[in-house]
Amino acid sequence: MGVSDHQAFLNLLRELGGCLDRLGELSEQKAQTVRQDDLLAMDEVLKQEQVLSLSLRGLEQRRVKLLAKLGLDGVSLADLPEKYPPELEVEARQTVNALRDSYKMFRARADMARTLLELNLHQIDKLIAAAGADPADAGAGYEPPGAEPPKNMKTDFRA
Amino acid sequence: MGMIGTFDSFTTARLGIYAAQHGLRVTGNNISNINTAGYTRQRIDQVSLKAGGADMYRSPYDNHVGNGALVTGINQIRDPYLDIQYRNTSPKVGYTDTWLSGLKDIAQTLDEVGKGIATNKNEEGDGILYAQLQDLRDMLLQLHNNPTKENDTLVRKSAETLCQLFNTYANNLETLRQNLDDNFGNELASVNEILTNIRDLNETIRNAEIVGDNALELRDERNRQIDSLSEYMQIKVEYTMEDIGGGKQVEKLTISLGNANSDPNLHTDETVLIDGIYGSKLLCPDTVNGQPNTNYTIQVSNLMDSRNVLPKNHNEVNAGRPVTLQDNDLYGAFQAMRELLTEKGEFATQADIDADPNAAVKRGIPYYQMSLDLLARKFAGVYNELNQGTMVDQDGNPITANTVPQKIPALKEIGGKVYAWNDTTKEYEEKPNWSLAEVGGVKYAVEESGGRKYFTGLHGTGCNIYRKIPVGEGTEAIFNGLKQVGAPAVDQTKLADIQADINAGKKFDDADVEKKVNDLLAEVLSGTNGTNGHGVTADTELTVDMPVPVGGPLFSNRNDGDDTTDITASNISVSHSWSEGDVQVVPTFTMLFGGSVANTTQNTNIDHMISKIDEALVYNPQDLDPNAVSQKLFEGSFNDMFSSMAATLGTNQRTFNVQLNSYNTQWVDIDTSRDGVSGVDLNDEAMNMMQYQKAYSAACRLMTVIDSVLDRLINNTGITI
Repeated sequence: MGVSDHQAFLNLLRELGGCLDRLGELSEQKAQTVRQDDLLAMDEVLKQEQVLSLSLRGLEQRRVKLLAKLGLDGVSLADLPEKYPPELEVEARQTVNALRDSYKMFRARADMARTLLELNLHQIDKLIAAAGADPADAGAGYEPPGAEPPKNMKTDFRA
Repeated sequence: MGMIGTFDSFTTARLGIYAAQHGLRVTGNNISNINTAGYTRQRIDQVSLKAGGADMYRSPYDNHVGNGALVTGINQIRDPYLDIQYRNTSPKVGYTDTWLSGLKDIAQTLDEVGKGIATNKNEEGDGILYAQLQDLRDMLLQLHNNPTKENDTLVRKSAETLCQLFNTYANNLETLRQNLDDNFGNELASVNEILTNIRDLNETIRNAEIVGDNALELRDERNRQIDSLSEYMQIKVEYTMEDIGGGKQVEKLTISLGNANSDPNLHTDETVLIDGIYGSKLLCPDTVNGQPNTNYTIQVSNLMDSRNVLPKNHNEVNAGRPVTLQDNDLYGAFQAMRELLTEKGEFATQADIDADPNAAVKRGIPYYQMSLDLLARKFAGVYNELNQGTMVDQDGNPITANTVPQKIPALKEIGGKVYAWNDTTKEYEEKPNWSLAEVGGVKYAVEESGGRKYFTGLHGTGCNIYRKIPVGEGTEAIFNGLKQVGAPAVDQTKLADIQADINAGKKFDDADVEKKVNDLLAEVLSGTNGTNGHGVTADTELTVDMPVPVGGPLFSNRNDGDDTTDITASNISVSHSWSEGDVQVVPTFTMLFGGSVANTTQNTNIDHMISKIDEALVYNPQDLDPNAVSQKLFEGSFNDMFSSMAATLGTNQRTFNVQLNSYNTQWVDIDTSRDGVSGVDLNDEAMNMMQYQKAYSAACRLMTVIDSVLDRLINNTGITI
């Protein structure tokens, strides 16, 4: 364990912050697609989100390994700077603060995307209910466009 | 064939007219209120009327026909899902908006310090504080080159300006905090007014409901008040039915805090604010548990009705006793104001962190005040320490005498100006009319007077004798000057020898005469002919009794004392002793005796002072508050420390800005959706209007038709036309 390991962990936190920033931007794009009712664009955003989710998983594995190597298992993010060598303490605090800020921004953006999505789904549910169908029949969850639409959503051209 | 009442159809037509008329009135009311804030679109509840039950001896051929339409009531079109979403998002918008607004106010103060004077109008300056630190460095450099009382005064003036900068901006931040404190009181009153309004509306609506009125307009106003409350704090709104006896039930509205605290074991964050006709108020007492309420802790008062009567048989947590809220029980604009007023960031104590685990990363006005205080304290501490110490000789032995003999240069030439030692005042003084002139390879001081230049000497060292010898006017002028100086400074024999040469017809520009005059001049200027003074050269050294410089604090916590404890940005001042001249900047703590003076070893203490301006120093929050948990806020120069404050502020602003934009977008979208459901839509209303108009006309026509039919039946049946 040396300063380089400590530095490597800070770099990992920076990478994590960058990943969260990108996810936040994707959430904004997702909200935009919801507002524009653009399902195809949303599908593209979701694909990118999945890629970033995999990156996050990789970062998480590296985080666990590095924490164990540094002997900082169980140390919370807030307490991390105090456990760092004095020469890196200020840098660690700045990195931790930046990560927390990235997380806050991501949460707000993701919250916005989720709320707008739910808002639209609520309106769709109301329309389906008004049309006399049971919204639950449509099935829960997202299915990418191109998949077979639910039966009650199909237009019967024979009629 | 069923029995048909002869005049039943009139009732059917009449009810149709009534229903259509009701519909038109409601449509008209909707249209009238299209611009009324908080108005919810209304619609009539209409049912088909069938009078009477099944006949006991009902014939299979007896077909019942309904008796028309009946308007059973008027209701509002609201979507509870959208109300809940709106009120869940409101506190997020309120919280981030208030924080961002507070940070912008702080930024206005810090930007003023930070931007400074720009050299180019398209650029920002390096900062007023930075510029003043540079000015202090320049003044110290000047003092280093020439440690006079005058230059010490210049350093002091620069330090005073720096102190005033600290004072001004600390005061600005304090004013900002005071304004927010006043605003907090006003907002507290606003929240209590909303709570009182909701409680009173509940009572009025309840009374109306008991007599069968839905009180829709009052509900609109209540919804508006609830929406406003949700911006201030996260709330939970519940509607239940309350049994009022006699088999009758009325709706009861309950509003409680929205469980904002992440601690699942705490329930004070679910305190009931409104319970039907009972309401509470928020209080911010001066003391909590006997301690000053510096944390702006909020208490929720007892639930009471409009006559100040407590509720009966209530199990709610604040029924009968006030509740003291925990630090994170609120969330919304109100909590943001509390945090702006109290959060200290890295200066948080263990008690602060116990109350709020995130206290060390929340930075309100106190954080910026304390950071500025820490910077001022560090600055004062560094320079006070550097200016106090024991004077030692070149061997490191402490000096106890008041004066020590020391060799110093008689003249200094700095930046084209000549400074000469004044043995009376014991310091160098600027000689504005002096310059240096070379005679025989040596630079002598000359003084300009009446448009002519004369050689000169040091004050109190017989200098006047030289002021008769002009410079730059030729050998003859020097010779005449030497004659005026007279004996004993001038060797009269040599003077007579030159005079003899002149009398013999030699000219002053003869090399021989010129050399004799210059030799005599050099002899006079060097004071070798028995004078008690001599001309001053750039190389002249004097041995003088130098007073031991008095060390002492340069900065204190008030300008009429020398107290160096508890210095903050708001009270940092130049110490009384420095401003009175009893203390000066100590150029060096090493006095050199006897041997030659080398400038490189002089004024080392001022060197240290200059170097400290750019030296990386550790800023420890515990230097300001020993109870602070963090031990290292920043490491860097004074200016870097200030820049880091501005950078922290900028980062926080950016974060809140992104959060506010996101929350605001969803808030606006939810509000638009809610308006789409509850707002008045002119197209819908126009369609309704036409529909009711046609229904009304048709019902009237029905009445006419029935009238004519009955007329036929009653008056014309069996009559042959």
